Amino acid sequence: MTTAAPIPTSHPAPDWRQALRGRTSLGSQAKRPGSLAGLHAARLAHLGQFFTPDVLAAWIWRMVAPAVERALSGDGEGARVPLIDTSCGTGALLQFADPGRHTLAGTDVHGPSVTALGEAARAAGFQCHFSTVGMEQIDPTGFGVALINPPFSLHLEAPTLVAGPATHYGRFGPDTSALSHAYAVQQALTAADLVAAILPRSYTDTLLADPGAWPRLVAAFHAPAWCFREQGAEVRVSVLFFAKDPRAPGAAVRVETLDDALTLAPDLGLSCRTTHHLNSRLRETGIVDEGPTITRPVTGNPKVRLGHSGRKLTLGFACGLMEAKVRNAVLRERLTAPVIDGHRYPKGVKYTGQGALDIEVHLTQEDPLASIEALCDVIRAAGADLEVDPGLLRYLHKRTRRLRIERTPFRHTVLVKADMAHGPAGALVGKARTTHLVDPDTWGSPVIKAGAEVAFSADGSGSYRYRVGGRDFGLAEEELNRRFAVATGQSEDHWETVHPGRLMAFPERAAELRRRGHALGLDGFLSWDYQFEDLLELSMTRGAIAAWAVGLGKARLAAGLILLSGCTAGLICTEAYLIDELRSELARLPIPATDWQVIQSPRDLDRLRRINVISYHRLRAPIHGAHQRRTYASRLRHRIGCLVADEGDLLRNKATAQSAALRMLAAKRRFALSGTPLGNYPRDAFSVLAFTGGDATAAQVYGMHRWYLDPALRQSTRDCVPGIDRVREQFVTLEWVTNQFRQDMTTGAKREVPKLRNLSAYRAALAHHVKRRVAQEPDVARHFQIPVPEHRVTTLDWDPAHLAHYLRVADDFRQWYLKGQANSRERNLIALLARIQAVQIAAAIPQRRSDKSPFVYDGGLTSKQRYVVDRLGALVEDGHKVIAYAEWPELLDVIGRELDRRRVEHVTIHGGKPIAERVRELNTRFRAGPAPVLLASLGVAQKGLNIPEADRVLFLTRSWTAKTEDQAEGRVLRPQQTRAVTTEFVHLRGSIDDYQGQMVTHKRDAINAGLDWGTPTLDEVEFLHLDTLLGRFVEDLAGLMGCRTHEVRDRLAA
Amino acid sequence: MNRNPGEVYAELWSEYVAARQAFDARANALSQREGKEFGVSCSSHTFAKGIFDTRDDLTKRAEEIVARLVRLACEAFTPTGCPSLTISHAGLQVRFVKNVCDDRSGQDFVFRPERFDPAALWRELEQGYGGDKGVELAYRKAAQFIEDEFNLRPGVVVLRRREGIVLPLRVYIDSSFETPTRKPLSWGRQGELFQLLGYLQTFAVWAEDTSNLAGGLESAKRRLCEHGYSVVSRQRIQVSSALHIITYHTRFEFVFGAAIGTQLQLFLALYGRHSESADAQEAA
Repeated sequence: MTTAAPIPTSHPAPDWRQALRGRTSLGSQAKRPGSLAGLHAARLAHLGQFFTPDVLAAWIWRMVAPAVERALSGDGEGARVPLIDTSCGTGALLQFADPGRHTLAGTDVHGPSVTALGEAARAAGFQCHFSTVGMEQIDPTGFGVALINPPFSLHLEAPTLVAGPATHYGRFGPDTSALSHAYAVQQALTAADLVAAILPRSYTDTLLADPGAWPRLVAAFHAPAWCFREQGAEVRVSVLFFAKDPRAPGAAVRVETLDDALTLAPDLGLSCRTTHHLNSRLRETGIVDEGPTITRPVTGNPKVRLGHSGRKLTLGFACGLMEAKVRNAVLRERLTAPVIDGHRYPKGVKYTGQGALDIEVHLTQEDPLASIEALCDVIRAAGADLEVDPGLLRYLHKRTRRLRIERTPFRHTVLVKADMAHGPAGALVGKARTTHLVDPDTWGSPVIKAGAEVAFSADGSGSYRYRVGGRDFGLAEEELNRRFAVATGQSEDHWETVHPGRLMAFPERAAELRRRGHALGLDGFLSWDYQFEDLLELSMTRGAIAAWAVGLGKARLAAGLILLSGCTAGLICTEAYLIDELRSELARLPIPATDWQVIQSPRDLDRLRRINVISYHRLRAPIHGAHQRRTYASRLRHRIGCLVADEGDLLRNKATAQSAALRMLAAKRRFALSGTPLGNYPRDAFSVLAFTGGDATAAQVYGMHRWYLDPALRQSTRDCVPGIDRVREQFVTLEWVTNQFRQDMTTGAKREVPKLRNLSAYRAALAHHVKRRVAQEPDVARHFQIPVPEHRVTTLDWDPAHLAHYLRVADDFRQWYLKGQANSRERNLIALLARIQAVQIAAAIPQRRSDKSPFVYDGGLTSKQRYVVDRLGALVEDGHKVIAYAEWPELLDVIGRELDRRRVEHVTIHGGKPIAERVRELNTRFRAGPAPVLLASLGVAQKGLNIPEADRVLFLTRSWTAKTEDQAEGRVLRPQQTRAVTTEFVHLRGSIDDYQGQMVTHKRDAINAGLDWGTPTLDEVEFLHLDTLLGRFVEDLAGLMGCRTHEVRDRLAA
Repeated sequence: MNRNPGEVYAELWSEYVAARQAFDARANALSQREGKEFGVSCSSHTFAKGIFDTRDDLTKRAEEIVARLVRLACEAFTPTGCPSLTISHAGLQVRFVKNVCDDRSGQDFVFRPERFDPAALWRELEQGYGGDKGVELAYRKAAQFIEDEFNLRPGVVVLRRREGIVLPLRVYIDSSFETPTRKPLSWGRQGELFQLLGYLQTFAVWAEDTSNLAGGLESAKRRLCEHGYSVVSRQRIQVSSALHIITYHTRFEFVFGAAIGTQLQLFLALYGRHSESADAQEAA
């Protein structure tokens, strides 16, 4: 038994903690861990509990005593200084407290210690509050002094953490994860005026490295190594003191090393307050007493009314007891935390029976009415006299009818390769395209060699059976086509209708719409039969994506959708620079001028017309600068009957102001038009689907804000998952992902491979939401031909000076990235994009100076820039009109200056020029004028513009998305195009161009497979990530130069 | 001159046999002369070469030639970059020397040197191990060793991590030399690990891997199989961009990248133990 260390004080306190001195900490009883894994296990076992040695506790008390004395002497009789220790154990740090001068509070996860401490403190006469909870479950405030010796390096993960500098993005969302010692400091600083904290030396070093971030830190004392040796821990610690107020400007943090006798004890001039000024509270978080759930009086009236409000089934009660009985019967039990690692419940899901109160869940059942009836039986069984709102049943009938249409896929015609199996078939023979394993998921799988012929038999459910190595296997159709060239008997590729469409399935509804369409004269301007048929098919439901390829007449379709919907006010939203294009298109249609308008001012909102056009920029903009939340969108809320979002793929990003503005409109009918509806990755489609088809509805089961709507939710929500998780698990190929990205698939960091998993499920998910048309399919090709462009990639060699500059930047990125692997905070997307952009700039436009980049390029034109200028000159001489695209306006200016020098007339358009000037120059000088070269940035010329005058497209830089390149190329692929089109890409050998090219190719392959039923050709091809690619490039260079990789830059620079 | 080792040894053999027979004849003549000079009996002749001596000598030479030709075949038919083939020569000794050359002459055993044919032996070796057969044999040997070491039984689910493949390998710390800070691998396990890394090199040759896997495995061999190597728990050893090894005190995890992992699966499927039975089934 040890005794309390003596402390020099004018008020010697009684040794009230005498009874606790025999206790030993859990940490001192644990075996010494032999490895990192053992350390982790040991921490879990002893909860990081190591009691503070009495000598160190006495020294800390001596350091804070002057502040306590000053506070008490200032406030006079009855004042006490409230002390807190958030991991108190048996109260070693509180042992010198005096019941007449201090109040005590503390928490710890170790119950026996806290109980004993509480009893001893109460017996000594302290006003005290001790609680057996972890620091992650409390939110203390109003303390004078916090004395803490927190557990080190325990990973806290709880939704109850209070956000602050120590918290990170965790499993439960933002600020739900922290390291125990860092969180303890953050918590103590919020809770108390003065904080004395025992912390690991390494963490102290981190704090001292950035003292500006810790303005209250006044001193750090490195404790001797023996401090915790008695506890069986060999750990280097420091004691940090944080003052009540921030340091004076320019004041340094005092850093000292204590000798073994702990003789150094300077007065740091600290201060704290007493109970006269403080109201100390040790509030436990996570348990919020919201009062009783049911407050209705008990009347004994058993009447219960079942109705609905939107998708929610509502219950009306007259008696509180009946409400309790019915709700208990319907909601059953509360959901507990998921036991499966990585599984989480969607927001708002609390009870296992919650699915029964969602109409969409009932609609997913085979017989929705029977499902509702079963719910009624449950309510009646609880003793209720149930009355079902007649409107509910009418609504259900209506929704069931509508659902039949919504679940019917749109008519879709796809190109079927001659060697592909498609649709119902009997026995087939396939020739293996490559040597492959029959079952790659188990060892010992038979292997089929390239060229081997295998016989298949259809099993009637879209799959095929075959026998290899004496065992039977099954293959889905798309997998069969991927692995085998099938002898189909077809001599060449052909177009085949994979879904006959809604007009065939619901001829009566189609006839009615057709009559209305004819009556409105819509067939007059949607004159090609596919246009009118698609209009009818799209109009059969309240929302869909019209994924017509570029040049098929989406502007006319937009007008048609609004007119056929019969609404009084429809809205077309488009990009600002396309407004003029759309205006001239609408002016050409036989629609009275009084029926449409372009919304350009708030006055236009007062009297909406049948067709209203607005730019996204204006839609999200405030009407008046003084009222930022009063936007055009908010003025249009609930006034729009039919919304058509042009280039609707922008909805893929839920967090943008544009998406928010579109959602704000709350239009009854919602259509998205886009030639590239999948945006960047195939997964992007689901955000657009949630907008047009509803969020977790019976027709669109993947909720972006809600759950994945599984019919099993009717039985229990225990296994329910957020829709976004389902999309990720089912379709997305990820190598690693942060919690933040897992949450919304938009922000945070990840490493994603642009390959689609589960192709057939993806196609099925899109089939009844996306109306796809491509220019080559027979229904379209009958009316006009759009040439298929030829693609060429020219790879150039580097100039040595440019290569040296590029390598410096690229290697800097690679080193940063590899270093960042260990620190997820550095691995956020914004930082990553900024770094990658630096690499792109170094390759494409090294002349561009940046304040942020330490690397400077002093050379002239790069080999690529020279080639581009030469190539443009050659194409112009051959009589072509050329569009040259680049990401960076500066690059366009560099090329423009060189063209000027060679007297090649050109037009340059980019975001730096006003829209009106861009459009004027494009129309007068390029389209109708003599300029043969259009230099355009990808940002301004990738969508909507019709430029069939050009027949050559040159990409100076690559994009990250197939959509951007396809859209940019699509400007020349219009029905008016009469010449063969060639698209050229210019790469620098081994540069980021190659990576972007690979990325675009993989994305295009995945999107083509998902949307246009193409066969994925790159599934077997390894996707090389940027760091790998750059690393290989440097390694190859080193090989060529006969040196080590780190010497390459120096060699080149020399 | 482009003769194969079998032909060379055939020629050397015939010359040696001729020399040996000439020597025997001369020695016997000397022996007879000695008998005449001193009137001694045959059994005590100083220079007599008995039939046993000749038989013994020729048998030894022939066996040595067989062993040498087998060694040469191993060297010649092993694919580049792979551990050497092992061809058992015991059976060949019996077939090409004992069974063919041993004969009886009255009561005595005699050796028929003219029947020993090194050229035929080489032809057989070439037929059995030359060209693609040797390559296939090397691959089969490597695949089967890899399967055995990682205990990859048919039907076991492939353990994946980030699209790649994880193969755990059981290792044992040598308790005799273990200290709190030093965890040496057991001698036997280290030897097997050495062999395993060698056979993975064979796989790397087969896979035509561009990430210098074979070179990385050579470095790993030197590092993991050196005398003073001590296992560090949770240490990641980057063999190449396609493979890294994570060492624990009880196991080593070989983590193959996605592409090379698929290649490894194919390699084992094509040359592993199970492939032979599958081939047999196919043939049936």
